[in-house]
Amino acid sequence: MRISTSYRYDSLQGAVSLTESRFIEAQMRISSGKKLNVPSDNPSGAAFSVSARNIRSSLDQFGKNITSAKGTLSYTDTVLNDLSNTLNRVNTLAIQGANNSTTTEARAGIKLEVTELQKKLVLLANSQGPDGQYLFAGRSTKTKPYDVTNNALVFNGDNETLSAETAPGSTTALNTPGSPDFAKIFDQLETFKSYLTGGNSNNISVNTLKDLQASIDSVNNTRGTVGSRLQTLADIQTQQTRRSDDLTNTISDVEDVDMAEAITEYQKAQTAYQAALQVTSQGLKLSLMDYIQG
Amino acid sequence: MSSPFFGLNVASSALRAFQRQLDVTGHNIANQNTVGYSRQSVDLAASDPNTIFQGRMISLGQGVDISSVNRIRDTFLDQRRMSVASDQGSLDARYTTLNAVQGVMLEPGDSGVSAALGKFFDSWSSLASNPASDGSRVGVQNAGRLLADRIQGLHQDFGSQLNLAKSNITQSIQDMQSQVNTIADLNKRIREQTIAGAEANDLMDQRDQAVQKLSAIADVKTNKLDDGTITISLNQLTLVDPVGAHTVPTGYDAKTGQLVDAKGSYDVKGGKLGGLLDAAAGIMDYQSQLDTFANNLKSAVNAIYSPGKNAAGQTGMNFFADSNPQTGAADFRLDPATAGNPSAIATGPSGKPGDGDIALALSALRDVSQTGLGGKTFQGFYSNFVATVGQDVSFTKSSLDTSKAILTQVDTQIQSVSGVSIDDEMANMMRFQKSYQAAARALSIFNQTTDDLLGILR
Repeated sequence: MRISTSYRYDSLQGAVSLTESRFIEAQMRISSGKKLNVPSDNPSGAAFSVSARNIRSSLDQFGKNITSAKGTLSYTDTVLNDLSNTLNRVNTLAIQGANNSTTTEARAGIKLEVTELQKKLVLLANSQGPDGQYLFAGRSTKTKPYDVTNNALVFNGDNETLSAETAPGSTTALNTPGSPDFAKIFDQLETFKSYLTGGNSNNISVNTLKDLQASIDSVNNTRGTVGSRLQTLADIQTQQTRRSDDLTNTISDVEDVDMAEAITEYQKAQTAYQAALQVTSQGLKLSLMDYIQG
Repeated sequence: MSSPFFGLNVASSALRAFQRQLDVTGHNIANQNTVGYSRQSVDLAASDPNTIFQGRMISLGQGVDISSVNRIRDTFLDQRRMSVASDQGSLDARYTTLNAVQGVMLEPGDSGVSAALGKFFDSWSSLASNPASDGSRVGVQNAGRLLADRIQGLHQDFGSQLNLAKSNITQSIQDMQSQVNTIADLNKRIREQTIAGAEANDLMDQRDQAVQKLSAIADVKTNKLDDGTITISLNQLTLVDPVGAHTVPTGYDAKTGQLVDAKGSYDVKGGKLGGLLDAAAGIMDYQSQLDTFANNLKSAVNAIYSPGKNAAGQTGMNFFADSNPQTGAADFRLDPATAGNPSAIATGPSGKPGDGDIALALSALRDVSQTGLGGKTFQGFYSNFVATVGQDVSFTKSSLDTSKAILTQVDTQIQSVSGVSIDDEMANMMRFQKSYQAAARALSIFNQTTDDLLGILR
């Protein structure tokens, strides 16, 4: 093929500029650490990365929801524990009251203590959680659920479920509508007091002890439910954290540069650039005019 | 009997011819760096012989004539280059424009619409899990505002890119007119020279350059006429004809890829202009997809949100501002009812502080297929959109790289045929110099014989 002078220069210069641009690209990939900077670098990878980032973000949100739910459930558990202890104390008092040999003064003393325990019951019934919301009010969480009217405990809340979103499309209940039945327990204590006043140890033995036992069992059941929810949430949280970490790794595989590979490419590009520069400086020297005399 | 001066004439014709050859070689060397220059050479032919009687009829050559000064050019390669330059111009314009567009989307990453969309759904999930919380309400407001800002912002960025493409289109049309005018002018001057019988080599080189530049702007076709002029047409539009230069229409329609004037519309299928029109149509399509996305999002969110009752007992509110007909992404923002006091945000239909049913439904909207988006979820639609833009750019880039390589190859072939080689010209120069020396010596010998002849008569 016939070679024109400008072709000689152009082809050498072309090689220099091509190797130079590859060299700069390799440099940039190392300094940015990313191989997927714009969607065109890897269109299907970009679509995957966009989806994966959103899934990860939602998993992180569920994690936060679970943490907040655990807080509420833990508070509830503490209250139920307190309630359980209170009921056990009442049970002990009831056993004393059922004993025929208990004196009238003693019965009066028991009645006083039961009255105090009733007040404590009301406090527990109106417990609030970490955000100030009433735990046993159903969805009317800003209104105090229990009031004492005419020696009875009246419930002003509702029986709807509070829940937290803890996984895609799935919720965990935070409350136990309907139990504990504070109103019934208050009533049982009121009845116990009236038996004490009337000196009716037989009724205490037959009714109160039976009723109290049923209430204690119910509260323990509720505690069991709350406890198992806490355990389930802890498990879900662990799983989701692991999934989120996996996603981070996968996203990094798609988006980030493998440093070892990038450095090798950089060195190759640098060598090619140097070679092009050297060849250019040699190639430009030769000409017929060096050999023509005169 | 021919005259004694016959030999002098023969030798001097040789001197003239070799002088011209040296001149043309010098011209080639002088133009070694001129872009678009085709090397020239002198075609010599033996002069018509004279028939004389010297004992019998003999035919005697009369020396050498210059038959023409030609430029070495392969018009087939030129045609090929026109079509390749047109392809490359189109792909380059398309790539540059669309690459900038994908740059403004800021995907994948935390700064684009998709991250804001994810945060928006996340904020509803947080509120659903704690409907009484004011902090979560503020979270929803902020996430809604961020999403609105990003969607509006992206729409504006698309708009700026479109305006840039449009101003480039206008500039290209002006460039086209300028090249057309140059070519018409060169046509006139070439015609004058051709009619006089000469080859207008350098003017033709300039015209070829202008035609190549024009091909890079639009997919023109040329036709050579007998008087040395060319006509140029762009599909249905005539640009240059024997009358002269025509006006390039300044109006255009990006959607159909045509230039438009009062008399009609003309296709542009290649060159920078074709590429820009194509890219502009592409950007308009991206804008309309973003609008579809925005309108569906407004409708879906508002439909779920509207049955919600807030603490003040208000219901039937919109979360995002909407109107009929819908305004798309240009106007995407929070409804004034939800943009103010966070306590105005409803979380459930009953108005109870613990009712988070609506917030839950809005969080679940993340995974609901939308009929208005072809059955995709909002996230799915947007990530598909990102991939589509990426594929458009990536495909254009690889086609561009291929066409660059082909153009380089064609240019190499053209250089091989028409390019000046210094070594070549130096060797020729030595040859013509030696020839000139020989002719000069011959002339001096003829001079001597003439002197001798005249000397007899003294």
